[in-house]
Amino acid sequence: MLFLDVLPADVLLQGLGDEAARFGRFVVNGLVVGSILALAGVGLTLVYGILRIANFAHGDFLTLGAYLTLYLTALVTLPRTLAWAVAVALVLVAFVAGDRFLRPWVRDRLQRSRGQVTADRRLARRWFSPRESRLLLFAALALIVLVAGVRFPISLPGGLSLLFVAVVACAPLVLEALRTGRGPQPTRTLGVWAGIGLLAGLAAHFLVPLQTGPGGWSQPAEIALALGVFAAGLLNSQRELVRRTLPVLGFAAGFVVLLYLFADLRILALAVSLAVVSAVMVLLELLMWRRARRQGAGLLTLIIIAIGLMLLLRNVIIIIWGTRQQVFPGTLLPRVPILGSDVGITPYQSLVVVVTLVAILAMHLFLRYTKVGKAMRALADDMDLARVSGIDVDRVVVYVWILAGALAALAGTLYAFTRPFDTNLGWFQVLPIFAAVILGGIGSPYGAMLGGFTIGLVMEVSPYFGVPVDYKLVMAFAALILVMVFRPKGLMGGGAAR
Amino acid sequence: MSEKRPEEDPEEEMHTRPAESFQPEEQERAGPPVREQMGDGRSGPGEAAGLLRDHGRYALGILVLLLALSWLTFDGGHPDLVLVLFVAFLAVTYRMVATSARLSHRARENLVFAALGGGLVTILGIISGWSNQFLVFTMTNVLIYAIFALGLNLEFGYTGIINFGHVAFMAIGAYTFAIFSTSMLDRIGLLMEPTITAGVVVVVLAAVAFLIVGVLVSILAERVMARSAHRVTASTHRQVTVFTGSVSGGAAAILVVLVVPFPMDAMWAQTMVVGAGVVLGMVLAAVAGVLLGLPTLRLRADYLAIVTIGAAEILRRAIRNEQWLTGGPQGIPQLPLPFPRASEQWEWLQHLSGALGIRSPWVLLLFLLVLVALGLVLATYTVLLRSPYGRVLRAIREDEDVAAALGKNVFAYKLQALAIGSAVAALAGGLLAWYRPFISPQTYEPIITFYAWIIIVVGGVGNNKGTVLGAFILFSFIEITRVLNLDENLGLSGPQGSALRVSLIGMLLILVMLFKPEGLLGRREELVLGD
Repeated sequence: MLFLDVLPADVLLQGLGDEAARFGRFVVNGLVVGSILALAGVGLTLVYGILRIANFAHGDFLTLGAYLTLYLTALVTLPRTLAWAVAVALVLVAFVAGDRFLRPWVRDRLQRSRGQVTADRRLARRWFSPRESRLLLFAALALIVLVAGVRFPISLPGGLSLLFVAVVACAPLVLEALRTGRGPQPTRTLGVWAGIGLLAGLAAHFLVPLQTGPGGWSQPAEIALALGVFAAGLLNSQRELVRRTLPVLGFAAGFVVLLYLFADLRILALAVSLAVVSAVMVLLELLMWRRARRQGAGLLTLIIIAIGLMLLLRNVIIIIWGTRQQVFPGTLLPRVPILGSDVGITPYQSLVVVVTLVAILAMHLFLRYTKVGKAMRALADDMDLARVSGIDVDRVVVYVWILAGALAALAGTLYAFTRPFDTNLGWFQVLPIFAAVILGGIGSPYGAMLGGFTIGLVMEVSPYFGVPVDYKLVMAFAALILVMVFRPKGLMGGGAAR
Repeated sequence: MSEKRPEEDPEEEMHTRPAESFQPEEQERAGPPVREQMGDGRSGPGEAAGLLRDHGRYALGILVLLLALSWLTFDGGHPDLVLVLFVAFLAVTYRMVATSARLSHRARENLVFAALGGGLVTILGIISGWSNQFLVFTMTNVLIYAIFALGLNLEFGYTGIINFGHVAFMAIGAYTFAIFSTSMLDRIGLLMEPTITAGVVVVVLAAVAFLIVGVLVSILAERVMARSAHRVTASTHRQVTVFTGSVSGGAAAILVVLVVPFPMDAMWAQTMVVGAGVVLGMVLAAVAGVLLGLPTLRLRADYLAIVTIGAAEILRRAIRNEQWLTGGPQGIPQLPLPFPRASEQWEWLQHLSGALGIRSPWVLLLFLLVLVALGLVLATYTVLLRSPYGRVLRAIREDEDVAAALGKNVFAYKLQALAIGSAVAALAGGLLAWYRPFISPQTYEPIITFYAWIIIVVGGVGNNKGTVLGAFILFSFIEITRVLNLDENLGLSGPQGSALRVSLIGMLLILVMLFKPEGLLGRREELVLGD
């Protein structure tokens, strides 16, 4: 990682002068807002494409997610040491339980199904090919560099700490590979791995003087470290199902716990918030959307129901939490220069971008490689054809709502991380989200991601060209109208654009 | 709900069962079909008596409910119970009237309207301790929103245009009125020292503006037809001439008003200016509707919904930010009102308000004005919608392709419907500005559009009577919960209290759409929402 020190990027950016730096600030804002629109857009586009619901209430699920996370964060505060103890205990329990119960169960299943190679198993075996997991590892390492570079000014302690983090993340992998000569063997060294992960986290947390400020989010570098360990675990887990499942579980658990600790419980709160919003969406599906679908409700009926839901949801949020402006601790931290240039980014903003990239990657893997993900894409493409090919529509639809809810809550929380918010958060975002979805083509998740970043950049960069700040929405709207009139199927030509 | 038949006559059910197989649809919509046929086309006092006979239990229930209501309110407290009873009253009345088999659809409509309307007035009267001032004031609000929703009903209920930015046209009407009349009155010093000539000048200006814009609109419509890909038939041309004729007729009417030499004192001058402001607002809103419709009306329904919702939101932000024109977030206070000195000068008004026990004659006058406006709108609608023109609109709503295949220029018709609906919304905007009498961007939040949607959906899409009834129900609910301090009694304060109200309204919208999408007065076979 030393090459960061000699990377000419900072020189380059400084050389461009103030104007470029000013422009850069707008671009950073655009990326942050675009991340949120992309995340929320993926959920909306699936709902819109598969169920034909133009869900105006989607924005308010963002609000709900943000408020839930904030509420839960404020609800639970543990002393630091106690939290560590809990974390270690959790990891131990996870490993023991996995070893005790999960492994025999998986083995039994494997033995039972041996001989008949089902599509299921083939799919499972190909979850990540060796090449893909290598890519994944590189991506994680790139993330470390990116996060660290974005987050910390390049100074001597900063560079050293980067080096430390990178070495800690990579060393076990390299050592193992050197020792055996054929890539690390996962099963034996499982405990060692988990221990290394935890120790590395501990070390990074306590030894490296990188605290961001009073009450601030602790180091993205640590998150990146955890990501690296996670990726290493994935890389190690190539061989068979047994050898694959346990390390993945273990490292996922370790990952979550690490994050959870570093984030002062914010990650736990976020996870609960994701789950709750997903559950609410599924509940609504069972209570009303399914009923409306059975009745053969048309486009307009569904839109009006969505409007009713929007009113209901937003006002329930107001009843519970009031209209007062809220702010996450750490939102208002000063910007930190990227790579020593004049372009700054707040810790939370960098977090938003990183988490979004990870989430998009996960989405991609989910949609490409899992059965449910494939079914979702099939439904979005052609509902009738999918039904004829034996896809259980109602079941897949529930998964669509779960996914949409989780992504909405995530997007809402991330948005709330970056600026003070109130109950209008979702309402102000829902139109840009729709713009992103239609721009990308209804029913196309990849289109929604592209559209999200496009709309986000258009909105946030427009003030640079003299558009008054309050008219950002007009820019999104103008883009939307242009797309609707000239290319109503969107950029990626969604199949559901009927 | 409607699929259930009245429970109290199981024998009837037995008798009519064979008929079901022949008329399944009607069966679903109303009571036993045999009676339906018998009752069709007949109406008269005998019907009401028969209704009471059939539904004596329900009538008794209503009586008990009303008694309980008045007792509870006079007793003080128990607002939650009052609300529960209020809802029960609605349900029971509706059940009593709407499911009766003896009535034709028309008679049933009228009865539901009278029963619910009368009952709501009674309840409002009870909770306000029979304060006529309160009643008239509330009714004014109800009627203004009824006009507003009527605009949407023409667009959506009759033509099938989905418009979620209706409030924008209300804002255009209100702001045009406010800006035009204040600046005009300021410029000629009319507000301070009004003169007859000043008034004449202003009205001439207004009429000229009206004429120019009106002709421009008709030419635009003409052009759109001429350039349309469809062959323009003679009947379409007739429609266009009727439309443009009505516009220029309206302008000519204003000119006539000018020519007639009635004594134009300061009061009339100001009234003219204010009226011209509202009319100008309507024209501008119609133009705005055409401008919005030109690029978007060919879009899919859901795209149109998104575009309109966005347009309204953008307009609201523009109003908030363009301080020089609109006064920014503070808005424009102290708007000029029509008939400024009527309270002192018109004796009949004083007598009337004195007789009704209304302290402020202006409240009564405004009520009368709004009533006249509503009457005008309804009369226009009746003429418009019972003509071939209205049938074309409904044909477009049912199936655009069929209407186009019959040689109708669908796009032009939709554009016109949007223009008229927007003008009606602008009228409501002007009246609402009189009602307050100030304007600020907070008045034109998107929730107002959704109010209009709830009104037409609850009342029955595509039914003007239902729209008025819907406005009645919605604002009775709002007023009742407000007067009874429901929110404070539940321990909620300020914004949270009104949030409770709105969330209940949202839930109502969902429930109506799921369980009774044709609303109170709509016909299921005319339902636009199911397609």
